[in-house]
Amino acid sequence: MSINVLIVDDSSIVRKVIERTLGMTGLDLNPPLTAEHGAQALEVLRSNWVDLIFLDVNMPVMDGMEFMEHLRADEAFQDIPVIIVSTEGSHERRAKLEEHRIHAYLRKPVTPEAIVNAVNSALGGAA
Amino acid sequence: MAEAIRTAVHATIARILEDWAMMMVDHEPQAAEHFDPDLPYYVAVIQFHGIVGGRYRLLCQTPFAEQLTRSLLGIDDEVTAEQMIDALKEMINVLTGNLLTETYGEDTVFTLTPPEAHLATAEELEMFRSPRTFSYLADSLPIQIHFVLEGLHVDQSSYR
Repeated sequence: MSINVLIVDDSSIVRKVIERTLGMTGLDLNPPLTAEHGAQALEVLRSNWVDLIFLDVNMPVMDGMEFMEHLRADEAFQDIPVIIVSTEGSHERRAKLEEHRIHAYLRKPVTPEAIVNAVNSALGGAA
Repeated sequence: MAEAIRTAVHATIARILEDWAMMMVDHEPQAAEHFDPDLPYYVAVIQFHGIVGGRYRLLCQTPFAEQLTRSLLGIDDEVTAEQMIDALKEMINVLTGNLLTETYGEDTVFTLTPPEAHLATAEELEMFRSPRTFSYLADSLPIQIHFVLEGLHVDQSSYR
């Protein structure tokens, strides 16, 4: 069964880069869903089945931290694996995100290998 | 600290442009002479706040912005002005995040403002004429970096 990925980043370039990288992995993926910020991502989740989320941290409207609070507070979404892709490098902010059970933390710029490894790990080899 | 920042600016711009955008970078103090006066200039800028505050600016022209955008998107097609602006914003975001972590370590928290990119104003162009500017050729295309800490200007002149 094909996997549904949601890419949440305010940069259209980053969304395209992740989408292109996913396309090169050979993983069985449906065309990715996208959102420009956390609030839009919550809307996408309410109307689509999502298996995996790529999430930026610094975004307008609703940032990655607030999105994670909403996501994990909702019974329907609390088990969806989340891979953070961010320029954020501090231990403190990373630790706060990890309190919300993120699956992997990738610092920009990310390599295709890092994305593939994170996806395989997040999906437990199902991909 | 100024020396550490200069070293980190050089290291991060070379690493990120080469590894992410697949563009070869040479530190070239005279790179500005390679700008085409007939082409528009673009500036990408981001501000940061934390134990120190400041601004990181990147100056380039259309050929660099186009090549950067094509490299990031992995395409050979024409790119739109909107895509170029978005690519420059993301590049300045990644450069600044990596520079701050490399300089101040992972135990230091910084807040970055949303990056901006736009056609350069006359005032911004003048800023890049100062000796506090780092100049490079990326795939033979000129770019300049202007990095300012509040109360501390990172002087490039002693580094040449």
